[in-house]
Amino acid sequence: MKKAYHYLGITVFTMIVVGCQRSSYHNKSYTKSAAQEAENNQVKTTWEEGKRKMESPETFWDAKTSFESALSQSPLDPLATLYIEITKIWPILMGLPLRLSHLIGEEIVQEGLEKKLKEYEANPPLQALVRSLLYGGNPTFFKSVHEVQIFVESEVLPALQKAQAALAQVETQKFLIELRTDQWHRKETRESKLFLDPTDVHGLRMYLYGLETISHLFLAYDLDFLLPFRTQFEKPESRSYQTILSEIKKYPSALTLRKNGKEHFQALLKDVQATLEGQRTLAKALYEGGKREDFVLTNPFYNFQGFSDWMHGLNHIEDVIAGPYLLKLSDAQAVMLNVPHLLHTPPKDLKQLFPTQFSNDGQKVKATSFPDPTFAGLIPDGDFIEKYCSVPNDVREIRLSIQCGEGEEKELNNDTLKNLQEKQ
Amino acid sequence: MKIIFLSGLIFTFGFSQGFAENSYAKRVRTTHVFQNGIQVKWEVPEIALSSSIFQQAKNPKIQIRLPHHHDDIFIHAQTLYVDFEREELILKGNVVARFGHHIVETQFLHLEFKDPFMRTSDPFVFKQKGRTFKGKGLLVDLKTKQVHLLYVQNQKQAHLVIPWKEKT
Repeated sequence: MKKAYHYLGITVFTMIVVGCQRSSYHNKSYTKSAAQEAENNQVKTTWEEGKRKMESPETFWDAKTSFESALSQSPLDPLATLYIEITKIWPILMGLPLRLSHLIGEEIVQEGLEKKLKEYEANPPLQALVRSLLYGGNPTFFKSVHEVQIFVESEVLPALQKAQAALAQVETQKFLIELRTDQWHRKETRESKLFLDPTDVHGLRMYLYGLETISHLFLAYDLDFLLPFRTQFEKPESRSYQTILSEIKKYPSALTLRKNGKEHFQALLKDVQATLEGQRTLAKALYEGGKREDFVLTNPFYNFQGFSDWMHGLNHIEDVIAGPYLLKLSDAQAVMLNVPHLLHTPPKDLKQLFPTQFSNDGQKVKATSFPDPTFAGLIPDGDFIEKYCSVPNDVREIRLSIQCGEGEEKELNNDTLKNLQEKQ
Repeated sequence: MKIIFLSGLIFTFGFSQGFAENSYAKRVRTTHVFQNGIQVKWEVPEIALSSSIFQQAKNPKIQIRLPHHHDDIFIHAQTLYVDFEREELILKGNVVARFGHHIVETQFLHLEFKDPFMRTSDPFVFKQKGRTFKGKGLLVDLKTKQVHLLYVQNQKQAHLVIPWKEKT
């Protein structure tokens, strides 16, 4: 009996403790939820206001204050973060084609901009927004490639990296936002919607990473020699390996590693997955966007073949960044490529790797004239030229402008075929 | 006191069972057969991002079955990234891959199934019976069953080829 009272006492005590906890929990949650609800309603109103403004090109910029206010209450809101990050990059890119016109060619740029703007005549608010992107912003022109590199390094790259960091936090959330896009078309559209989810944010982040990758490549070496080359080698008949390489050699700083060049190359290896996917996302977005009539930018791919070739080349580049790569020269021959080594320890002067002897017409490079058979560590076994020349021209998987012997290229004959089969 | 102890034990056991079942239910198992017949199974606690083109997951356990091959490849890592379109897997963070008599430890591993390769450009440790290699850059050719190791010796790059030794 005593024991029964004992257990009863324990049970009652436990119930009281649990009951107290539950009641205090309810009271607390009740008072908290009332205040929170009012706060949430306010955030929701400013968020919806921002979303509404964002859906029209006329009020696009006005959405900033609403989203900033929404973000102060809910710091990782997906749509508000997305808007704020995009609008941070926008002013940096404003007027960029115009600023580059001294380097690209004034007439080409002017003509292109006018043509682009005319395409938006049917939608004046969107045209005004496109005009601000093409003609607005900083009016100073770039006079050299070096100036563009400084601009990309100091303004574009940090903005891209900040935006990516913010989007990386957003893409881990679960959300589905419906956005109306009717007013964003070049021509009148009945109804158009966009469903935004974490995968879209991830896609956008990869797009930005693609841009960052290209920026890193552009920033590694001194490219100032390109400007005089634009006019010098305009005519195709003036171009040969001999003339181009010997002209580059006249500029001592040409293709020398810039101050932070090594860091830029190494950045490509920091997140290989993002580098690979970023490049593909960027190319796909440009191609898919280019197919649409209302695409804001100029389509760099004129047809599917162009896009396909680009992706094919890109896949090769991506593959070699991912790790050591076995480059097939023929069915029987392959060489080991180690591009990551080159990215980790890039040569200080690429001119040092240039071949020194050429064929009589200057269109081919003599196989024996490469100063470094490892190509700065790219070919760890230093056997590329030797293996390339051992493969008859007819069965080569890749063909380069390399002259193996003094005379013509090796022709496929029974002896070489037999040798190949024996090696296999 | 015995009753309290016993009920406590039952409660603890029941709770842990429920917890285990719950976490077990949360694990997602996927099997995917790539075009050239390579079968990949992965088990993950949660899928972070997923679309028809790619999938991203945390703490995966992966088993890869190669056609006409006795040994499976077993891998675990911190993050798995599957690209269905390109037929690729990317593994990041404390990656450990076991195949045949070999173990590879690295921070990044890229698996490509169209032209089957497993590779890394990161520093790696390659272990096989009684031997350990450390280097930077490794490639396992799943077609020729060869392991290519890249490392630095006397300030020069070196390339070593080791045949894949099967367990069976």
